Amino acid sequence: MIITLTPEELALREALETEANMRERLSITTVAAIMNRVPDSLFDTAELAALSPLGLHAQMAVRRTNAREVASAMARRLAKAGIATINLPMMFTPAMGFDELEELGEILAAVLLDR
Amino acid sequence: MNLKMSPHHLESIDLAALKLVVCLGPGGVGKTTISAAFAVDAAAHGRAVDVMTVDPAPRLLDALGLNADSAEPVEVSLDILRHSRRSKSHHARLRALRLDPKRTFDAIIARYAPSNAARDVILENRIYRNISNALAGVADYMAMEKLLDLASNPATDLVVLDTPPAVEALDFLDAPRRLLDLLNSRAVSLLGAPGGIFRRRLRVVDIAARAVLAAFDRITGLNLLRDVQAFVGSFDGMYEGFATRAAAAQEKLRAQDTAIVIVTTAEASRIAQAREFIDALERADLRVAALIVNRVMATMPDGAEISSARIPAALKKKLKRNLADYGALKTREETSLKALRDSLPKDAVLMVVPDLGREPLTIADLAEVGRSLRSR
Repeated sequence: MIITLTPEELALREALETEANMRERLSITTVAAIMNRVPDSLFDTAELAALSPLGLHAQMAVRRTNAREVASAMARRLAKAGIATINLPMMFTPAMGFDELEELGEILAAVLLDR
Repeated sequence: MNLKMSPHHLESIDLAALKLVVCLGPGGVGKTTISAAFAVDAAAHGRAVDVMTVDPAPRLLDALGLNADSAEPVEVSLDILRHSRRSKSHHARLRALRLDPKRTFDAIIARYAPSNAARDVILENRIYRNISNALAGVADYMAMEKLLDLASNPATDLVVLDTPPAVEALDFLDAPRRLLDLLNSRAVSLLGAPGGIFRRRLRVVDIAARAVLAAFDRITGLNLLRDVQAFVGSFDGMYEGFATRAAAAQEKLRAQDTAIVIVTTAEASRIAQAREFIDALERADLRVAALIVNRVMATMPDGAEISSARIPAALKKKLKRNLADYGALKTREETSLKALRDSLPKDAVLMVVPDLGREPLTIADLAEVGRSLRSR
């Protein structure tokens, strides 16, 4: 059983509740959580500080960094519940089509087949 | 469809004229934030407001001063809004409460039970104790029930209701009718004693099924059938109360001073869900006052600023990549929003709430979101 979620608080709570329900009521064990739309890390703390005079650019850099940090914090909370997390990247593309799905599929296949 | 919007000029609903705002939408779109923002904004403009949330994120819970057990309204401090003269008026207040379906259900039983003895029979029945929390739709019905309670308080100007996350729009709005259907259903008739609230005669197959259940009880010693019959039978005499309340809820939802708003985000899948909500409400003859698209990306920065910035070349390269990445997402979002606008009638209200760039954690954050919900 694999739980899919996005890096958002509500999604995490629902994932943890679902995992607990399946385990306690149905004795079904969750194999992993797939966290979708996780941006890659691009800026470090010093760089973010250097960007602060740049207004909207700085806000957008912080946004990306925060999203990455939220995803990492959520993965730690899932690990505490005994669930390993597989990250799928945020697809920074103007549309979600076949190519994007194929790329995500290849990432998933590589990770899951590796286990 | 009754949505009122100009496709070229986004408007808003007139919050001052409303007594009830119901926020509907799929999970994870920021429905609780929008509900709380409506409430904070109305209180900042001098109104006495109650906001009922169903499943707030812990940080929003903190912002509203609620804890996990807050089933009664809790006064929320408006000190942070002291710049707003009207928020300091004696009349202005904001109270928040978190729905507790079990406690609300118990209160309903106490209200409609024909006697104290009948009330106690239900509340102590193990079937009731289980279904009062677990039965699908109970939380929806209880939200509606609590809403009627809050709305009947003459000291309250506006009630804002954050509904449970729903797959279908009518999951919540239709909850009273579904509970009535359940009480009057063949399955319940099968399990209960003949007569009383049951409107149907048992068929041969029902009698056979009941015999099987009785045999099951004899073998297992669970007395399940007896408990279920006692539970169902104890609702005798309460049907009318539930029916009256359901009718009152339907009337309230259709009142002129009620606004049902649908909250969504600009992702294609969520917009599709929002469209399904609108269509379902229209089929049920319910007026949707506005569609709110939450967390829309802010204006993109100017790429030329990167070239002139006094930062290392490597950092400029990263900034350019970041701009291109989020620019692609902005394009995706605009495509979804355009499709949404094109699909709505010209007179529909579509409200766009910009992304704060952070999780709303404080009353000030909610006030900021609230301001973006006002006329522009």
